[in-house]
Amino acid sequence: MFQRIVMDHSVVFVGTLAFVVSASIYVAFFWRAMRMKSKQLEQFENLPFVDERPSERHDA
Amino acid sequence: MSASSQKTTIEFNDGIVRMFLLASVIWGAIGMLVGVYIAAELNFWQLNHGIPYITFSRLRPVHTNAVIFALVGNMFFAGIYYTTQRLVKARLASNFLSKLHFWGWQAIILAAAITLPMGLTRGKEYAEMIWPLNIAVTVIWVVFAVNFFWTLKRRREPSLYVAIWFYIATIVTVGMLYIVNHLSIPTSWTHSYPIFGGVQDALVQWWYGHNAVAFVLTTPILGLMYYFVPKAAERPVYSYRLSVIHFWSLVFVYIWAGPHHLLNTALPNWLQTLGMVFSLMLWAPSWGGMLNGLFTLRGAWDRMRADPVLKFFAAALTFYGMATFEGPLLAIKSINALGHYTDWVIGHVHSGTLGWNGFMAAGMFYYLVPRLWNKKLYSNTLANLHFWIGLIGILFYIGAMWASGITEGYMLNATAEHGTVLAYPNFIEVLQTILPLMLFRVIGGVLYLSGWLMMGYNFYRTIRGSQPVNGTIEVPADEPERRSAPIGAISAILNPPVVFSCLAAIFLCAWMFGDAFVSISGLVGAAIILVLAYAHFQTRGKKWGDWYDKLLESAIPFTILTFIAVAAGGAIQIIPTVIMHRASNVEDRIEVPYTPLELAGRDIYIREGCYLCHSQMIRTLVPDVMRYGDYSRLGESIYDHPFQWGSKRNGPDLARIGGKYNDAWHFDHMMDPRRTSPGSIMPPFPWLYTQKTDVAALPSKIHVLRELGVPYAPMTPAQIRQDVETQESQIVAALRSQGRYATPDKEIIALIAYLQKLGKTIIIPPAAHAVAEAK
Repeated sequence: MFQRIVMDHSVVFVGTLAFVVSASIYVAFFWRAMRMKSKQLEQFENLPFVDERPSERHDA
Repeated sequence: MSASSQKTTIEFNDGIVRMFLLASVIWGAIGMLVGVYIAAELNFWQLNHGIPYITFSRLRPVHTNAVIFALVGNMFFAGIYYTTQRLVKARLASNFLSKLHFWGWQAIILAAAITLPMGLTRGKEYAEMIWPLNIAVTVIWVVFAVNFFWTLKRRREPSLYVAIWFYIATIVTVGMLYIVNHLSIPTSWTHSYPIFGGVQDALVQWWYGHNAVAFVLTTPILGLMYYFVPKAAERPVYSYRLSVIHFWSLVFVYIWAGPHHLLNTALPNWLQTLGMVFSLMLWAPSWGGMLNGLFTLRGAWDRMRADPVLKFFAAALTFYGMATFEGPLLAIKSINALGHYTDWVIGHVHSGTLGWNGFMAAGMFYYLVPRLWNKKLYSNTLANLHFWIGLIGILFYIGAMWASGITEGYMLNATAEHGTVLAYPNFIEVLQTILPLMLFRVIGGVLYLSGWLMMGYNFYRTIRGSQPVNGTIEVPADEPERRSAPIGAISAILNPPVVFSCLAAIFLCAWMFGDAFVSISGLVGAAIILVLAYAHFQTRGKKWGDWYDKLLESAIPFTILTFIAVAAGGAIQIIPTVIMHRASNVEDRIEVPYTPLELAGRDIYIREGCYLCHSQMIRTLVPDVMRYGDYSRLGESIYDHPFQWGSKRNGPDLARIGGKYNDAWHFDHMMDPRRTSPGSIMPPFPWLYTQKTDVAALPSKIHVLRELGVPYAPMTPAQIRQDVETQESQIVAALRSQGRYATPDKEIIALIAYLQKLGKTIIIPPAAHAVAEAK
């Protein structure tokens, strides 16, 4: 086992596979992110602003 | 009033945030002060004063551990506790665990600050702390994790904001990395040997070391960025979609990039290729995140002039972009051949730590202090001055290190006479050329530290006479409504996207690693899985989407899947290496186990931190071979627990130093390096001539090494002592014949024994099948 990766002549496909794997992850999550609905996005991006009482905030 | 409209008030535990914040400021100043001092020691060796505790190589781990775990660690603990409470609308689950976390962490840092200058070290970069402290770190990290996840369990906001995702990734990944890289067998209460040796240890170490950058210095700070930058700019993050892509891409890909620290070395080529390609792929998510942060500041640029918080954040994001552009660039093999082992890498690291981490910390602190103490910042002018003096300091620092590193790389690699001889054969000539640039580094460091101290003073004046306040929030009295039922731990794994992904990964591994039949089966299996996944997605795609939406409200399943994502990268790289690259499989050359005296010398070498300036790895590059001798083979360090390949050359490589000089040369060199090497910047080590070699510890050490597979013959303590005394008397006799006098039991004798052993290996005759293949 593991003979192929240890032999240098097989190493070329390791690079290609690494590229394909990472590119697939990018594409999958790009697609997933694009499918998010506007309402859902708006709710998520506003989470930091559902904040404590304004009277107890002290801006610099 | 109906039940649904009843409100209850939650008071956040901001006391713990204040404690971590102040600890970060104080430890940060100490860590940077040590950094400035050791930088000055490289320019002015006299600053070592011949005192072991302040010698460069013992203090350097104090600097790195202080800034990583004390400055940045305390900073992100403060930030995570502050933001998590607000994002999930819940007070921290346990006051006791919060305090235990804080005091436990400070005790560990203090213990490290004491033990590291004493020379108590594991000899692995950023993993130097001794094994009892490793256990303490693990326990405190678990305390942090329990407190965090318990808080999530009590949350009143069902959705998990992207910052929380980054925190989860940090907690699970750092835990995994830390435990695996610190697996050791103790030989005493203060000493241990790592279970991995040679190439295995190198791979595990840089899997950890690289991801210490990724999951200690990057992901938690990105989580903080996604909270504090929108808050400071008073507008939501530029693109939440981009933040989703940023998170998953980074988490899946970062973990694979560790081997780029070992390019052109004896590390197997397939691992080097993986490290390089995944590093290059990191450009995309890193820049996606950086742009997302910078674009969040849109419309707030006019406030930048007066608001130090925004200034620090904008500059921090710019440095994040610079550092994450430079990192993949340095991971390209040909560029790495120039930059590795030089100051270029030091410049790269500090553009990240000073620019990204330091400025994010400052921005966050300037945002938090007025709010946590309910008082206006003492001086905005001083904060702005901190920014500018810090920025100039960084530019001095990294500019000098870039120039120094590239000069060093070019000079060390330069050849003359049509490439037949080295253009600069004397290492010290190269060193002398870059010394003025190294001085600029000191100046840059002093400027940066001055800015940090100004911030400390500013906070002192702000806090003095103020009243600490805890934030509060009103939430509905009843339990929050969930849009959907949460996913259970089992259904987090047993669902179409995860099952198909895991099966595809398993088949692809079979294709990549297997021989003949296994390999073909793997390829066919992967193809079938992809077709099935596509078909399933086409017919039941909505289920996939629904599952993902539920995942965003389910902390534990989210954590499990994040763990699988990060663990896969490590497992695929480490398991084959551990199985394949053992002494029994080594070809070409194999290391001879150290004699007891050489082993004692090696432990002195590690104690003094020699590996921080001297590598033991001649790369597969012509200039390296011309300068230091035949390139290092994988088997030549196979019994080294820990490996000592090094990561920086402030002095020459030592892989083949054995036999190059006589014993008297080493004797003189360690007493006063400039006697043998005029212009050297190495500190003297006079205590080696007075301290006795710890022979009593050797039986335990040899016993542990035997357990780890080093082929020592069984030896009684008396035999070990006899062996030591015999070799000591031989070295003393040789020294006497060269006009040097020493008593045999001194540490210098053991160190000479070790240094003279380096590079002496057994050449293994080619196996019969290899000969046949060659024919």
